[in-house]
Amino acid sequence: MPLYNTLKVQRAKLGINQGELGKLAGVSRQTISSIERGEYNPSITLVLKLTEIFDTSVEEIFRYEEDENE
Amino acid sequence: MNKKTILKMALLMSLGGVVGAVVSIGLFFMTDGFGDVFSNIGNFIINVSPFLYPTLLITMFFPAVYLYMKGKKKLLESKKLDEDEMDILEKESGKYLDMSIAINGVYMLLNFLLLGATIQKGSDMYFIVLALFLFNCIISSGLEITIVRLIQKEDDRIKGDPTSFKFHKDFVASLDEAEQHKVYKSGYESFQFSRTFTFFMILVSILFKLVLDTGALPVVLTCSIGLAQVISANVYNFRYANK
Repeated sequence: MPLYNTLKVQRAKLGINQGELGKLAGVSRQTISSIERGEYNPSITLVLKLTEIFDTSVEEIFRYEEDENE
Repeated sequence: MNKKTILKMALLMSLGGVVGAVVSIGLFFMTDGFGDVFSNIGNFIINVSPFLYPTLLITMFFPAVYLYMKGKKKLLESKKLDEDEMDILEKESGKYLDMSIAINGVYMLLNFLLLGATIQKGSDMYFIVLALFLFNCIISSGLEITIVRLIQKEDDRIKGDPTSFKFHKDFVASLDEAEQHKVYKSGYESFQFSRTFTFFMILVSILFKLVLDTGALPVVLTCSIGLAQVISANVYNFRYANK
C-alpha cells in the first residue's frame, strides 16, 4: 500500500532522532526507520500517537497515493 | 482456482505419485538388504556415540557461538553510527544472531536424535551417553539465554525471563506492533510449512511400515503431531474469531 510520510522532516523540526521518537511513541527505533522508509504501514493508534508527539494533523505526516501499477 | 493452479497441482500430485511408486518398488526389491544396512548403521552409531557428541559440539555449537559473537560485535558497533548506517549494521547483526539461534536449535534437536539413536538399556555407555547429552543440552540452553539477554540489554523494552515457561508470552507482549506483525507472519508461514511436512512424513511412515516393517508406532506418532497441529490451529482460530 503506497503510504508516503514526512516523518523524517517532522523529526528534524523537533530535533529528535529515531531512537528518541521510538521511545516517545513506545516503539523500537527499527520500527520508526521502517515507517520512514515506507516498509511498514503503522496502525491508526500509532499514527495518532505520532500526530500527538508532533502536534500536527495526520495529513501533515501521512499521505496516501494510488499506485499506478496496481 | 484458475486453470494454471489446477494444472500445477495435478503435475505436483502426478510427480509425487511417480516418486512414491519408484521408491516403493525400489524398497520392495531391496528390503532384505536394507534390513542389514539399517541394523549395521544402528550398531555403528551406538558404538561411536561418545565421539558423535563432541563432533556435534564442534560442527554445530561452536559455529553458533561464533555467529553469536559476530552478531554481538556488529550490534555494539551499530550503536556508534548514524541512523542509515545503523540500519544496515543492525540488519547484519540480526542475521548473525538469527543464524546462531537457528543452528543452536538444530544442534539441540540433533542432540535429542542422537540420544534416541544411541541410548540402550544395559549398555556400558548408558551413563556416558546420558552425561554427554545433558552437557550438550545445558550449553545449548546457555547460548539461547545469552542471546536473549544480549537483545534485552540492548533494547530495554524487550521483556521476559528466558528461563521461565512464560517467556514467549512476555516476550511477544513486549514487542511493538511492527515486531509482533513479523512474529505472527513468520509463525503462520512456518505453521503452513510444518503442516505440509507432517503430511509428507505421515506418508513416509506408512510407506516404511509397508515396505520395511517399521511397525505402526511411527505412523501413530506422526499422525499425533498432525492432529496436535490441526486441533491447536482450530482452537486458536476459534478463540480469536470470538474475541
